[in-house]
Formats: sequence, C-alpha cells, structure tokens
Amino acid sequence: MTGKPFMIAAFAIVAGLMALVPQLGSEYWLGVAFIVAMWIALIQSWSLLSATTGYISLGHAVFYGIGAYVLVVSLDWMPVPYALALSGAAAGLLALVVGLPVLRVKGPYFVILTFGFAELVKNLVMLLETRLGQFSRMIFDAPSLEALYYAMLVLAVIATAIAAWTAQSRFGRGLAAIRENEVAAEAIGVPVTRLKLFAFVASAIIPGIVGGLLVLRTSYFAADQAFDPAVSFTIVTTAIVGGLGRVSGPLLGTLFLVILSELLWARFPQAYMMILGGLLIVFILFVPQGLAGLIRKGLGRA
Amino acid sequence: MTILEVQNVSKQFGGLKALQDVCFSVNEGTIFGLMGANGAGKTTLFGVIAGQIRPNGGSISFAGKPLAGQRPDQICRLGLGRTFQIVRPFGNLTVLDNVIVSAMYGAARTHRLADATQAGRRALEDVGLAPLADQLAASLTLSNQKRLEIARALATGARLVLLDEVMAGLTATEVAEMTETLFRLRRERGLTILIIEHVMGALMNLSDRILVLDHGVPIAMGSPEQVVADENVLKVYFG
Amino acid sequence: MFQQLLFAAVVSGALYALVALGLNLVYGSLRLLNIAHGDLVMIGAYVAFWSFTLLGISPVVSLATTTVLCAAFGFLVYVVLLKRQLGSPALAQRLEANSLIIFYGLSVILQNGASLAFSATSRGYQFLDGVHSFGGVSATGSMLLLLGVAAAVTLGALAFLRFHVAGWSLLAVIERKDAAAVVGVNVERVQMISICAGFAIAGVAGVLVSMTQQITPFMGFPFTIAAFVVVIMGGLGNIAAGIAAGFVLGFIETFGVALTSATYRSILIYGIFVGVLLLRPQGLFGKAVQAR
Ligand SMILES: Nc1ncnc2c1ncn2[C@@H]1O[C@H](COP(=O)(O)OP(=O)(O)O)[C@@H](O)[C@H]1O
Ligand SMILES: [Mg+2]
Repeated sequence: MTGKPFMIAAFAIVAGLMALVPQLGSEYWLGVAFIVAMWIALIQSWSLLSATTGYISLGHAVFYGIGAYVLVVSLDWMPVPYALALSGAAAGLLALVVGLPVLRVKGPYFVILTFGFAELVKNLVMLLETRLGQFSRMIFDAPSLEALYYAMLVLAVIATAIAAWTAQSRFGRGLAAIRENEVAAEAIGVPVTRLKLFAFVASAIIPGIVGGLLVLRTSYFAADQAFDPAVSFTIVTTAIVGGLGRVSGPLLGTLFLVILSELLWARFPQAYMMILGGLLIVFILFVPQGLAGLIRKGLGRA
Repeated sequence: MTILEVQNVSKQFGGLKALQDVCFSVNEGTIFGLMGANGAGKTTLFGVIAGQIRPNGGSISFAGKPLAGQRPDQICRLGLGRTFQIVRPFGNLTVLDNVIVSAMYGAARTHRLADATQAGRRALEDVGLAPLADQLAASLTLSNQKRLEIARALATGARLVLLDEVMAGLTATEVAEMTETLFRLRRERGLTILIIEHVMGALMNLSDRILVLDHGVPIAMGSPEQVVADENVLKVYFG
Repeated sequence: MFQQLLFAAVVSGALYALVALGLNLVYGSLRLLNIAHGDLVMIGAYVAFWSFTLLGISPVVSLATTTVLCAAFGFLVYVVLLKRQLGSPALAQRLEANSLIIFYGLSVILQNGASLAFSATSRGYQFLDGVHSFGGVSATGSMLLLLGVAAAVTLGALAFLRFHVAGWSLLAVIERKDAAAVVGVNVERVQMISICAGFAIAGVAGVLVSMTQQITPFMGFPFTIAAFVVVIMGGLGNIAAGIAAGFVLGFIETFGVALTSATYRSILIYGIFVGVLLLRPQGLFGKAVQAR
C-alpha cells in the first residue's frame, strides 16, 4: 500500500487539489496555499543538498534573499518572467561561485559557515542599498496573487519531483555515499566535489525564484527582511520535523508548520519561534526520523 | 605484464619519514604481499597509490598510465580499488546498496540499476555476504564489515585491489576460507591483488611475491621463501 | 587619538577573549559547538540590568548572581539534554554531529523568550560613568572595571589550568577524552563542570557588556560569531592562544571601524569569520584528518 504508484498518485492528488484552491475565491485561503507551496519548494530544494549529503545549510536564506534582490532590481528592465528566471540564475551562480571553497568545510563547521556567510551577504547588500540611498524598494504593478500562486505551485511540484527522482537515481545514491563516508565514496569512484557542487547549485536555484515571487507578493523589498535568518531557521526546523530523507517529509513538515503559524504567528510571534526552537531540539534528539518516519511506523503496525 | 609500477615513492609526515624510496612492480594476475611491523608505512603506501595521500616524491603508474595528480575517484575509475584497514561502511545504507553505488560509480560504470544490482550481488556472493544483503551495513560484525570492504572494491569492477588487513580478527577457519576466496577471485576474475596482512601464514600462502617494509624503508623483496630467509628480515623480526 | 583607539581595542579584545574562553571550555571538553553561547552573554546582561534598575543592586554584585544563575542553567542543559546522550557512544556521535542545530534551537528559544519577557527595546543604565584621564586616554570607570574583571577571570582560568590538578584533568579531557578516562579522570564530571563554567563565564561577560553598551534580546549572536573566530584562530583547547586571538580580533575590529565607518563593523566581523573558516576548513582542531 505504500508502494511507488501509490505515492505518485497521492502526490498527484495533493497537487491537483492545490491547483483548485483559487476556485474557492477566498483571498485568505489563497494566501495560505501560497505560503504552503512556498515552504514546500524551499524545503524540498534545501533537502536536495542537506538531507542527501548531510551538509546542513543554515544559510539558505541567502539564495532566497539574492533572488528577491535581483528581481526587485531587474524589474525595471524586463518583464516579470525574465526577472524571475534571472533570480533563479543569480542564486545558482552565487552557489556555483562560493560552492567550491565552502564545500571543503565539513560537518559542524560547514553548518556555522553557511550561517555566517548568509549574514555577510545580508550586511553587504544592506551596505550597498544604503550607499545607493535606498532603504527599501516598492513594486507597483505586480501580477495577481492567483498568477503568483500558480507559479509557486509549479515550483513546489518541480522541487518535489526532483526530490523523488533523486531519491532513486544514481546521482542520489552518490550523494548518500558522500553523506555516509566521504573518503570511502571517493575511493569507489564517486566524484565527490563535482556531485556536492551540483547538489549545492541545484538546491539554490528554486529558492532564488521563490524569493523573487515572494517580493512580488509583498510588493516590498528591504534587505534585512529578505535575508532574514529566521527563514533559514524555519527551513531547517520544518525539514527536520517533517523527516529527512523521505519525499513526503517536507510536505508533512510544511503542513504542520503552516497550521502552527496560522494559529500563533500573528498574535504570539515570539511564542511561535520558541515552540519551533523546542520542536527542533526534541525532534533532533528523540524523533530523528521525523513525522514521515512516525507515520510510516504507525502504518506498519496497523 | 606489469600492471602496477611504483618508483622511488617517499612520504613524510612532518619530520616522520613514513615511506622512503619505495620501488616495486606487480604483474597482472598475481598476488603481491606487503609485510612490516605496525607503523612501517604499509597503509600510507596504499593511500599514496589510491590517491588519498599525496607523496613527496616518486612516481606510480597503473596499467601504463601515470597516476600523479589524479584524484582517488579518477584512480578508481581506471580500475584500481581499495579497502580501508579502519573500515568505512556506508552505515545507514543496506549492504546491497553499499555495493550498488560502487558498481554505479566505479570502473564498471554500470549506470542501470538492474545491472548494478546484479554486479553488486555477485560481489556479495564472492565474499559470502549475500545472505545479509538487506541488513544495514552498520549492523554487521567487524569481520563482515571487512568483507563488505572487499565486496565494495570488487563491485567497482577493479582489475587491481588493495586489501589492507582484511583478515585481522578472523578465526583460523575464516582465514582459510578467505584465502580460498582470494585465490578463486584471481582465477575467475583475473584479479590482481596487493595485500597487507599480519597473519603471516596466510600471507606466505597467498603471495607470489612479498615486499617487506621497515620504518618506511624497503628491506627485502622476493618470493615468500626468499623473504623468510633474508637476513635483514630475520634481524628486524627476530632480533 | 591613537592611544584612545588602542585602549578601545584592548577593552573589546579583553571582552572577546573572555567570551571565547567559555566557548573553548565547552567545545574542548564536550565537542559541542554552542551557538547559543552569545545568548548567555545576553542573559547575563539582562540580569545585571534588571538588578540595577529595579533593585538598585550594583553590577559588581550581579557578577556573583549571574555566575550562579548561568552555571545552574548549564547544569540544567547538561542534565536534561546532554547527559544521557553523552553516555552512549552512538548517541554521543549523533549529538556531536547535531550539536550546532540543537544549540541553535536553544538560541532561538532564549532570544525570543527574552524578547517576549522584556520586549525588543534596547536598554542601558549608567554605572561608574565618570571619566578618568591618563596618558592621553579617557576611560569610564565601567570600562576599567570591565578590563579588570575580564583580566582577572581569564588569568585565573589560565593559572587554574596550569597549576591545579583539576585543571590538568580538564586539559587531559580536551586533549584526548578516551585516554583521559583510561588514566582515571572522571570525564563525566569534568564535562559537567566545563559546561557550568563555560556558561558562567559567558554570563559574567554579559554583566560587563551591560555596563558599557546598550543591550537587546538579540545582542548575543555577534558575540557568538566573535567567539568562534577567536577560538578558530587560536586553536582548540589552546586557551592562551585563544586569549591572544581575542586581542587580535579586538584590534582588527576597532582599527578597521576607525579607518572606515561603523556600518562596516558587521561586515568586518562576518568577513573575518568566513575567511578564517575557509582558510582552516578542518576547523578548530587544525589537524587534517587523513584517510587510514
Ligand atoms: N595522517 C598522518 N599524519 C601523521 N602521521 C601519520 C599519518 N598517517 C600515518 N602516520 C604515521 O606514519 C607511520 C606509518 O603509518 P601506517 O602507514 O599506518 O603504518 P602501517 O599501516 O604499516 O601500520 C606511523 O608512524 C604513523 O603514525
Ligand atoms: Mg596499517
């Protein structure tokens, strides 16, 4: 019952239902669905690097932020679809340029380096904006929420499909070998550096486009918000709560996160963040297989 | 025909000379033994050949191609596999998945899953791990993890494998079995083997030729009979 | 002007050395990267602030209360989160690999908890703010107190490690945990004491910071980053080199900002941090792990 055709059917049904949300005609639910698709796209992308290779990135907000910045700047020069493509390309390019040196750093040092790197880029962009005399930027004729939502949904579907394909591909097996033991992986012929770099770049592109879409949604850009480390934190926490290493993990994690955030975020933002922090600790220490693993175990017993 | 040629290889760790001017060559289809006390530099030599450790001098060629400057994964894809004395299993993968990655990325480059699975199963059968194929590698006993090291090297499709103390910790019966396995692999796969072993009897039994290292210096080389009769070796081993 | 800058550099260097000392202790003996370290500085700062403004208690007294409070908090973290995990090798390995993320969770809890309790407003108070001048340098009493306390704690720690038997066993655990256990060091106890001491030192640093700067619930992270820079530059467990590295960072920061402008401060710190890690990718140990 948990076979491959079943899973594909389940994913297709979820995607199909999400595609129908605009028909409800409710701005509120469309907004919620937009956020759901956004986190799915971000977390599946993050997983492509971090869940598969074990190189946990605590700085994925940097790609999201760069995407947002590139979009808001390039919108003066080109139509929205091109600007979005440029956002993705810029994020991928950034990953390509910094990837080689950054991926030489291992384990916990990689984790903290990604965090520091994201903060460095954030501060550089803030400085640049101050120099340009810009404290924030506005967007005036953004596409409708419905159009943005469909674009986001497509990203979520693509990211999920890539995750599903990777899980059983030669590429994915190579990444798993790297996670398990990098020296041994290299000794059996896995081109470790190239694969890591490829995963890093691939995991950056969709977050770049997501950043662009979110700026279009809010019509507002400020560097400290676009590069908010809370985004990176939420990605990692949701991925871990959902369960690493399963395609359904990011979906379950997102569902959980969005419910929690709808209940708490607006009224008790600090309490919401504290609960996320607590969940992160509890899941890492006591439920390393995440919600996806728990459900699987539950199904197995039933 | 020579498959591996090692010339004047030296390696220093800080002030420590781990290898000094090591020279030898291995003929295709033979078993070449490497002997020496703990710390003699045997594992370091494997690291240098397989590309994990960069030597300070000397040259190595495999199947006529110089290995200088090649990365370990490139060397592996040329057909040279190795095991690690301190085992490095892919612990959270099954035993079968361990060898499937090998088959997919090694010299064989078996991209299709079905073919890679077949190659992997064959390697597991060769070392007697087939019944444990679906277990997680981390759950194996140490001697089975050593077998897995061999299977992974075989599954790459290597023509030459470097085996680093794969018999340490095996019982006498298991040593005999493993010896038999290695002979069979040479026979059936035409495999060339470079082997480090502390179990002296087994090494004498297996090897066509043996090189003895002492503190990084090669002190004797020849057939097992020649080596045990060598006065340098006798001095080092028996004082 | 130059003397004034030099003095400022010494003050911030002493502070960084102190904060890094705590981080070094925890990392050294438990192999856990405490990314919440700076948030303990924040807690120390708030203890001093509220004690002073609500109860009129001098920060000098708060040095003692924070020491006790933060050490107790360290003990709590040890017992609740770490003790059982460190006991089993398999769990310990997972803990080590994930320590950074676990402490990140703790950091988010502490920051948002403080923001919930005290609001995000930045706060400060006046204590020993009379200016003393000597040799071309003007310093407030609070700066001199900061310098004195930081020097006393750091030198005290150095002397303890060098001359006291308990200090030796701590060094032994930092150097080789397994070997230390073999020669009869009670590793568990040393680890527990290290985490209490590390947390307490961060708290003390927080009290000192609160006397000279504005404080906010989110002030901790830059201190964490600075402490990481110092520990990576100085090398793990090398407490003396860590202190020297603290001063180096203080100098670079103070003179760097003086040569450019205050907006470059974060860029400078994060830039050094990224640069140091890229140059020493193997991290705090400084020893490359070779294939065996
Ligand atoms: N990465 C390294 N750094 C420093 N010294 C090393 C390293 N690897 C091995 N050595 C030293 O080199 C010598 C040879 O080690 P090794 O090749 O493992 O010996 P063997 O395998 O013959 O027991 C030993 O003295 C060992 O301590
Ligand atoms: Mg060895």
